[in-house]
Amino acid sequence: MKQVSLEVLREEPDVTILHLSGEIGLDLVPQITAVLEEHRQKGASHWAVDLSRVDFLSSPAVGVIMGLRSRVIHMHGSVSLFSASRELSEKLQLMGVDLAIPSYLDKSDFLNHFRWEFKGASRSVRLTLPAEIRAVPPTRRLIAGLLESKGYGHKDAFVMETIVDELSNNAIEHGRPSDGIFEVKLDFDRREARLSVSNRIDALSGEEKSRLVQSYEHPRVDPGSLRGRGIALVKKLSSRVNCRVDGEKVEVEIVRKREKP
Amino acid sequence: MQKVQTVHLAVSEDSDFRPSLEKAVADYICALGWAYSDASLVESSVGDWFERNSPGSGRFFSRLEIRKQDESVVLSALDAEGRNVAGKAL
Repeated sequence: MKQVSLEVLREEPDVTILHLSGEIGLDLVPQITAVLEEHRQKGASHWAVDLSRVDFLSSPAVGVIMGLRSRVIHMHGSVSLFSASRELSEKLQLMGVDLAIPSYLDKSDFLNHFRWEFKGASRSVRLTLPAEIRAVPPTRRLIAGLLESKGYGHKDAFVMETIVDELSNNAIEHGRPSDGIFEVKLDFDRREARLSVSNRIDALSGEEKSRLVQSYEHPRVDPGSLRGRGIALVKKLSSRVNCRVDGEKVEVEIVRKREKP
Repeated sequence: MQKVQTVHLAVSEDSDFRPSLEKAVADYICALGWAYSDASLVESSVGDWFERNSPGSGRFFSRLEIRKQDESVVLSALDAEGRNVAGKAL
């Protein structure tokens, strides 16, 4: 088997994989440099290095990979590593490589992240929860944590926490779900987050339904009242708010654009 | 209104989500008053369970059910069809 080979991924043709195998010492550096350079000049901008069969990676070889990163970054490209053994991962960390080049568990994990970063892939969260007020704090903390784990800023996460809190409290307190549960759905990508909170209710009259929908479309704040500011706040913090009453289900959906990092 | 004592969590398979999900499991158990031991013990039991089933930063279960049952809390990992593939009573 060749110690150095390239593969353009069939499932993701923008990605070129550099497969390395065995001990990658100084002797292989000219060969690696040549194949990378030849392919890069043909326009390959997204690269991943498969380390699954690498027993040893010398620092000059690491230098070649770092050099590739410097060149493709100007083309809005990327370089990643995947499937490094535990020992190799530790060595790369000691060399500070992880600060510049992300490393993934395996090819599938790499592709998952690549599609999020460069192909607009989204992530989803589905929660079915007891309709109890004490279920709300862990829910908002979970949503904020998931957003932050994908690079959303603290402000975005805090705003979404606030929205989750308001909509969940409304679903529990005012919705009084007949089946004792409420549901939270979140779909998000790098640009926006779409959150919905829903619950079952006893059937509403036409007038009640219309009043409920209106309260989300045109929230009114009574300065003298201690309550009723939540919907206005949600509306202010969201790019879009929509309330649907479908039979015995109420669903409030908001869309919020991510702030520029 | 029915008293429900089950939480279902399902997230996309993404290794970045594991720390938040792991933390959330212990958070729900404690916040809902289902824990029979203190928060740090719950966190450590949940952490051990995640670690045993998906060591290191490896793959993890992205569909979970937390259920209060009699005197314990049952934690189950579900597959895409909702079948129980791993469980633990806390």
